Amino acid sequence: MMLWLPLISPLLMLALVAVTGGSAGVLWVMFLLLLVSAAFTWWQGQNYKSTQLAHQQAQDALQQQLHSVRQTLAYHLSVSDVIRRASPHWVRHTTLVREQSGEAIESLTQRFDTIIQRLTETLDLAATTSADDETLNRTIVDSRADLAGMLASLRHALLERVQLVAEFSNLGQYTTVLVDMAQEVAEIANQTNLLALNAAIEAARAGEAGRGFAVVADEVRKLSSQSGATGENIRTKVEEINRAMTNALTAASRLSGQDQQLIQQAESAIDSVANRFDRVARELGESHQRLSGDSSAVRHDLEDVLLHLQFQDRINQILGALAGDLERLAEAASQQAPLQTPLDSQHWLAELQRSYTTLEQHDERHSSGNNGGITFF
Amino acid sequence: MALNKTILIVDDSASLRQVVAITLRGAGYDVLEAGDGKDALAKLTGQRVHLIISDVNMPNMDGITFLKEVKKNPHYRFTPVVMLTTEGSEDKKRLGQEAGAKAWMVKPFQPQQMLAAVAKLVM
Repeated sequence: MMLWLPLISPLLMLALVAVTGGSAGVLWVMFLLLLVSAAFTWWQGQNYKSTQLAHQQAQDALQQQLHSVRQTLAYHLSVSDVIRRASPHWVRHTTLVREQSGEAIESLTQRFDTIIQRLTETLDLAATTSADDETLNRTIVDSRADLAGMLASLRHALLERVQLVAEFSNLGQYTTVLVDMAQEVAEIANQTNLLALNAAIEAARAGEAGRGFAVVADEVRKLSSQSGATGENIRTKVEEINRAMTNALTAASRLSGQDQQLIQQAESAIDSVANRFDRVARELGESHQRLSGDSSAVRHDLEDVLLHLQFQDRINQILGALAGDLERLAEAASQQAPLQTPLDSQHWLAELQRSYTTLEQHDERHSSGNNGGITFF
Repeated sequence: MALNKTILIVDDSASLRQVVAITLRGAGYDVLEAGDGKDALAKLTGQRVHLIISDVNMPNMDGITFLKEVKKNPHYRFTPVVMLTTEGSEDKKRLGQEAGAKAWMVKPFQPQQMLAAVAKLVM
């Protein structure tokens, strides 16, 4: 604003010289004016330089900003181009994930269903087998009772045989009596023979009168001889019978001992076999119960697995919302003049949230594993 | 065992249909399956159905529309319908209630919970 001062200073000095005629005071004033004018000119120059520098710096900054804006615009255009080109792939891949996970989960579910059905059939069969186990136990108990009855019959038969042997033993005593009696018969026959012999002697001494008596005495002697022979024969036979009975009794006693031993062995064997069957049946029952328990546990685990497979439905819906949003993004990126229709991020997010179907999409703190609950109307 | 009771399951997820079917068949129910509302309406051709369990978000015909169509059908207007969905918002529940649903069950479900609800509602 003071640029006119250095220009008019020489004019003022010339005007003063012309008016005053060049006196010393005027020259001093002129000198001072010239000095002031020079100083002012120097200050103006400095000021102009700093202004020029500031303008240059501002222009440089503007150029840099313009360059930065161009770079940013180019970057956003490239991002938009990438989104426009890549988003169909994202959508396709998201759809692939949904389809493949859906098919895989469906296949898994079918397999688990088959396993559960087989386990159910096994458990049903096991329940039937369990009834058979009870039948087996009852059969073992019944068999043990039948065998015990049979052993009792055998013991009864053995007891009767022992009684029979005792009876035979008593008969042995009678045979001794019979032998004695046969001996007595023999002695009587011997005595009778002596008497008959004496009678015959007396009959001979009587002469003709004793002839008839001699005949009688002779017959008596013959009878006593026969009686003696018969007694001897009886004794021999009784001794033979006694010997046979003794042998039979010995054999019977030996057989009784063997029978007793056999019955004890049979009883022991029956107990052993029955106990073994009991143990096997008990072990089978325990194994069966354990298998049934394990099978039930596995069945419940598989049912839990099936229930947890519900996550696929949630994933499908979440990915569906994502795919829809990606399609919107692709459509937005494909616009001819995107810069003229800027996107409203809040509106965009509101649209995205309207597509949410699960609670965890709205609130990430909500766990997808939570039980959803039921509301009755 | 619930003999002679038929339940229609409507869901676009085959695995979810199987999970529900396994749960119900295990309790003795007979099960019909449909992949969406349109498919389900095609299956409702006069046979006795004692309960319908339907998803909400499905292609071709969503669950709420299907429910409204069921309520228009004189054969099935009194058949109870349970909505089984991942949707848990009160707005959606109100939509289901207004359309005539008897219950709103949010996935994932527990089998005993579902069986208790089914036993309570099955006709």
